[in-house]
This record gives sequence, structure tokens and C-alpha cells, in this order.
Amino acid sequence: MEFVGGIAVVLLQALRATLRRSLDVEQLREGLIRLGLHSLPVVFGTALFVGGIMVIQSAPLMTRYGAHSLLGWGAGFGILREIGPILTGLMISGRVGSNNTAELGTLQVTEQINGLRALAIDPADYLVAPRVLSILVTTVVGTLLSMAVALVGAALTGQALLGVHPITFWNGLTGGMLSWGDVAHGMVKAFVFGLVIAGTSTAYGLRAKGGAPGVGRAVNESVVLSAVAIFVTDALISFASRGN
Amino acid sequence: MIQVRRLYKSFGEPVLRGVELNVPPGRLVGLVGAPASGKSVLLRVIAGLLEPDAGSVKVRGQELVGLGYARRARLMASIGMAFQNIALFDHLTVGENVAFPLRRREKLAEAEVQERVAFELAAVGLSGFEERAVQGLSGGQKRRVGIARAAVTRPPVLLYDEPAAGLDPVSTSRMFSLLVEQKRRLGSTLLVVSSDLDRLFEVTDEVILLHAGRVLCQGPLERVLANPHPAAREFLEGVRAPSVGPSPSLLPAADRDGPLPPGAFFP
Repeated sequence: MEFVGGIAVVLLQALRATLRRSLDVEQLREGLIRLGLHSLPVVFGTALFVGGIMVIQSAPLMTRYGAHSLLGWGAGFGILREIGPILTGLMISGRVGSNNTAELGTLQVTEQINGLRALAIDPADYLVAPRVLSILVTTVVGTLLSMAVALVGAALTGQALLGVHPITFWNGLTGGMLSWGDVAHGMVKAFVFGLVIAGTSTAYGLRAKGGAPGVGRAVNESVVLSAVAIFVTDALISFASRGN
Repeated sequence: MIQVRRLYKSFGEPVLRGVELNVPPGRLVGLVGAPASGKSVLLRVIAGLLEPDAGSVKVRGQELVGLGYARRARLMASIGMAFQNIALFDHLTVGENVAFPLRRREKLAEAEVQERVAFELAAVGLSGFEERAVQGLSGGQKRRVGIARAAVTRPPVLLYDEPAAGLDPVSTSRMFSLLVEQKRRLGSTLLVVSSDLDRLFEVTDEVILLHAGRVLCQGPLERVLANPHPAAREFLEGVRAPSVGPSPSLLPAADRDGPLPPGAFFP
């Protein structure tokens, strides 16, 4: 419960600072570049290969049943509703979440956060809100882009391995069995995963204590709990939206 | 300037147990006591960084305890603090560290920020250090940057936690001279925690002796040094006597000016 409470406090602080427009815009810009933009290459690279792997795994069945026209639907269904959000969530958690916990933990154990408060500057405005927003935006935008890249990877692999023309792949994707609802489903998951990663990594960073070993422990616990929470919320969202 | 009444704070174990003290305006007051007597915790409560369990802290006549965030932040803006472990922002340069409260809180024009930063760095003997990285500084230089950052907004109250910790004797002397100069220049009230009693006693107007979470005595140096309480005697004599004896400045003139034994050296 303490874990959930800590995340809730962090997210409420971020929301309050955002609504009051008191968050540090320069820190937000830096966060979007450092945490967000710099994470995109690794997310793209992973997504490209995962799209390809999905086709490689399904190729024997597609060939046996001659269902090449369904390749776009099959890859799209998996990527948009499940693989895109969860893969991006885990990548962002590993790269950005751990970095966020380590930085905040170091600031905490070296009293730099107390230094901010002693200067009458609210750490929620300067540290918490910009980082939470950066991670949230990074997760949502990163998921959207990784979906597109994974589909490109699937289409290219489909052509190379099965000889499925990209137009055929595209027709399978847009032939009516998939809708914008599937994209929205993936984006809802991405939004929730973003909140989970931002809240967990920030809360664990801010409560780090005990010097360098304490920061290490905080990073470890934050990454593990983020991953578990991503899978749990993924299952809950999937269950809640079954049939849609 | 600072009034503390019946202040209690515990972290499982009681740390502050009914602290009562007054720090008059414009004075440099030393806060001393044995390790774990509650000095740093008391300083943090006065700075508004810790909420006490009970009691009252008034700074410039305004109650700090129980204030809402916005009013507390306004009151905390009148307090500057330098930490024992320095707590400079690693990701900023020296100039950016000192300018931080001016840019973030005071929202001054950039030209004025630059001027104030240059002035404060010059005051602590670090002219031209604006673009230097914090990591590249020595311990003494970092402490001086911390002092400059605490004072750059010219707060009426300055709290310093072990400003000379880990410094060599020459740097320690310079640091305490700097505090005296700050008091004179800014007219601020300084409350200084230090374990270097000899140097501290050379510059303080008053001393507060803390023992086991309570104020054992407060007043001019002579009165505190003459306090007959066994804990005061043990602390003052235990800390000051065994290794080097009393500070030369506190000895009677005849003793102080006597001939040094061959090979003796005072830094």
C-alpha cells in the first residue's frame, strides 16, 4: 500500500504543478530530449526486429494455409493491441525509468533535494512534474511510433520471407478487421504504462536512502516493480476491454 | 530574529526534547554540542526542512510550524542555508548554482543575476569561477560556493551547518573570517553549527550549548565557558583540552604572548 501511496502522491504533485503551470519548462524540455528523444533509437531498433520476429514465427502456418493475405491483420492485431505498448513500456522502464530513479536517488542521498527546498524551491515543480510529464509523453509517443516501426518490420520481413507484397500487407491491415479502436486500445495501455513507469521510478528515487547502495536498491526495486505493474495493468486493461 | 519554544522532534528516539532558544537579530551565534545532541536536526527544523512533533519556531516574528506550503515557502525565502555535505547541484556550473535562487525564485533580469553572482563569488574569493564545473572544485571551494549560494538572495537569516568541516586550518580560518564579513556586509543573523570550537569561539557573539536534545546554556562566550553543569564541563573541556589546550585567543594575554617552546608550530 505504501508503494501505491507513494506513486499516487508523485502523480498528484505532477498534476498539481502542471495545472498551476508552475512546473519548470526548461527541465521539461531537457527531459523530453534526454529521456525521450534519446530513447527513440533503441525503441525503434527493438520494434523493427520484433515486427520481423512475429512474421518469422507465423510464416510456417501462413504458408501451410496459404493465408498470406491475413499477414497484415495478424501482425497488426498483435502489434497494435499488445506487443507495441508492452514492448515500449518495458524498454522505457529499463532505460528511462531506471535512469530517473538513479538520478533522483542520487539527488536525494546527496541532499541536493533538501538544497532545493532550502532555497524555497518546490522539488515538485523543478524535478517531479517535468520528469513525470517527460516519461508519460515519451511512453505514449514512443509506443505510437514503435507500432509503426514494428509494422514496417513485419511488412519488410513478410516480403523477404513469404513474398507478401507490402500492398497486400497493407490491405490486410486496413481491410476492416482492424479499426482505430485497436490503436486506441494500445494507446490507453501506453498511457497507463507511462503513469506506472513515471510514478514508480520517481517515487523510488525520492525515497532512496543509505548512500550509493541505497540508490542501487531503489533502482532495482523500481525496475522490477514497474515491470510487474506493467504486466498486471496490461492484464486488467485487456480483461476490461475484452470483446471490444 | 529566531525564537524557538518547547521544540520536540523524534525519529523513533527523541532527538530534540523541549528546545528553547533566542537568536537576536544581527548576531553571529554558535550552536555547539556533542555529536548526536540534535544540532543539525534543530537547524533543519528552523530552516523549515523538517516539521517538528511539537513546539514553535518563529523567524522574524512569523510562526513557521504548521504553515501551509505557499506561506512556508515565502518565509523560507528569508532564510539561507548551507549544508554540512554542501549539496551543490552537480549538473550546474558554479555560476549557475549561485544564480539558481535568483533565476528560479527572484526572477531577476539576467544582467542583474550576473552582477549579483559575480559579486557573491568575489566575496567568497572565487572570482572568475562562474563557468567551472562543481565536480572540479576542492572541498573548501565547494563550501564557499555553498556559502555564496545561501547568501546571494541576501536573506536576513543564514544557517550554516559545519561550514568548515574537512577544511585545513588555513581554509578554516578564512571560512570563519568570511562569516564575520557576511554578517557585517549583509547585516544578517547567522546561526552556525561547528565542531571547531576554537575558531567558532573567536567569531561568535553568543553561544548556544546543546546537550541531549535540550539547550544547556545560552549567552556570551564567557558565560557559557564558565557554566558549571557537568555535561558542559565535560564537553567544553573534553573537546578543547586534551590535544591542543585552550585556544591562544582565549588565554590570558601573559600566557598567549609567552615564548614558544623550540619547534612549536601554530598553523
